[in-house]
Amino acid sequence: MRLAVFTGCFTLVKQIAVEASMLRVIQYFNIEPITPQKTNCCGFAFRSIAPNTSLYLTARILAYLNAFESEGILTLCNGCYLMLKETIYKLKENQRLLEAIRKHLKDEGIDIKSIPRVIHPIELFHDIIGIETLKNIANTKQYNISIATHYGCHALRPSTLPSFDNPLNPNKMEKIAEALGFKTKDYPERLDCCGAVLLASKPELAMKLAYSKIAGTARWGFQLLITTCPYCFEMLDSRQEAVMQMFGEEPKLPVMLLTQLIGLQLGLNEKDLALNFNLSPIDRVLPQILKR
Amino acid sequence: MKVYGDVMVGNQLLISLETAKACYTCFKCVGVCPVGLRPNMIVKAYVGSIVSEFHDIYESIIRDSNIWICAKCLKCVEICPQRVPITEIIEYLQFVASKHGVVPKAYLNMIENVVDTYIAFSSQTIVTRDGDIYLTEDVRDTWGLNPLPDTQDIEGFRRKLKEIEETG
Repeated sequence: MRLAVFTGCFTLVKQIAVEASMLRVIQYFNIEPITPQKTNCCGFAFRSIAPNTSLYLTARILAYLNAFESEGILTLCNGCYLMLKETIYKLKENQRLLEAIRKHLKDEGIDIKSIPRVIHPIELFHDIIGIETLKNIANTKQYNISIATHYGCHALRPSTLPSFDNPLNPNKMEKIAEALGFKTKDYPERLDCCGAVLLASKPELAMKLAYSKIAGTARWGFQLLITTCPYCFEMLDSRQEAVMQMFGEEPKLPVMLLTQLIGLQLGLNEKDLALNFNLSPIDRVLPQILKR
Repeated sequence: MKVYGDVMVGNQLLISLETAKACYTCFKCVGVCPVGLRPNMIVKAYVGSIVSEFHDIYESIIRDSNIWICAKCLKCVEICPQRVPITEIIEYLQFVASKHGVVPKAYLNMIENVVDTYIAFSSQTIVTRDGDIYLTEDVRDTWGLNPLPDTQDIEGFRRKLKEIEETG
């Protein structure tokens, strides 16, 4: 299977572990990643300020990545995922809009000849690679580690767009973690926002939302939180120390990417999975995971 | 009631007056908003952008930087019993606010970066758990990842963005 990988700007420049761990892990499952070098911003930053440009930027990605003959676009960032999904919906609904955009794209030498499938990482592991395959990797091993899943707002909402899971009560990430031999449970903050969008407009409020998510989650006794989104990872892992310090507390919740957790099960090494970029206290849980 | 005209963003017609007026102020959106916005008032402001009723609320909201504290978590959209597309309404009011110069600088920086480099952010410093500090390019190279997009032939892209911004 060939998948075009759309990393998104923030993964490209900052959360490199998202990309590095995904590429290593999917190759293990015989998925050939296509990683074109010349993609652009998904248009998220333009949404409110220049909506037409925003739409064009998203459509440009669909056109550019579609040219590589893959079975879909694996989208690593939740924000980009929403942009692509929403744009596909708009273009399918509005033939005139599609034709107007195609005209602009052709000026740049690209075109949307067909509408590609956009794939979220959770969808990839649950629906494409499959739970049975993941169970085989875990090989009946069970860990005494309770995992909090964090989907991120734009992976699921709004429910008016087609979704890979139930937007109001998802469970595919839980099923993945359980297939790998971990425990999961529901918690009140599960679908709460990490605050990342506010980094651009009101950073102190962004930190407050991240604190509420981290401290709220930690009080339920989880040993690890997992996510797939680079922005959620930034707020919950990279900034955890700063976030907790703002409220006079210590970092308390180990955070990993789903792909890092799967990669460790596959026996990939810590460097390949870029685990040295995790800044939350993963040392508390890593030895137990590595012991298998 | 005086109608000021259709509500447009660029060349796209947005939410109808009927859809926005379906809000009956049940306050469910206020209850779920993580940043304490009052989405019901924002919907009223949107109504005020089309008709004279609530026009004063519209005028005050498009000049208030608080319109930008929406976290885009979309919880209000999910809980609204009338299915009012609240975040789209907020984005429209952010659009109008930006035309009045009420827009966070970070957004303008991201837009400028895209026009200059295809992507929203420039190279950064990245810290490891051991306290080592790397530049984006070095990390990407060490992990065998593609370099950042080459901007040598960006001129066509830049011209296209400008054309779309000006003509829609």
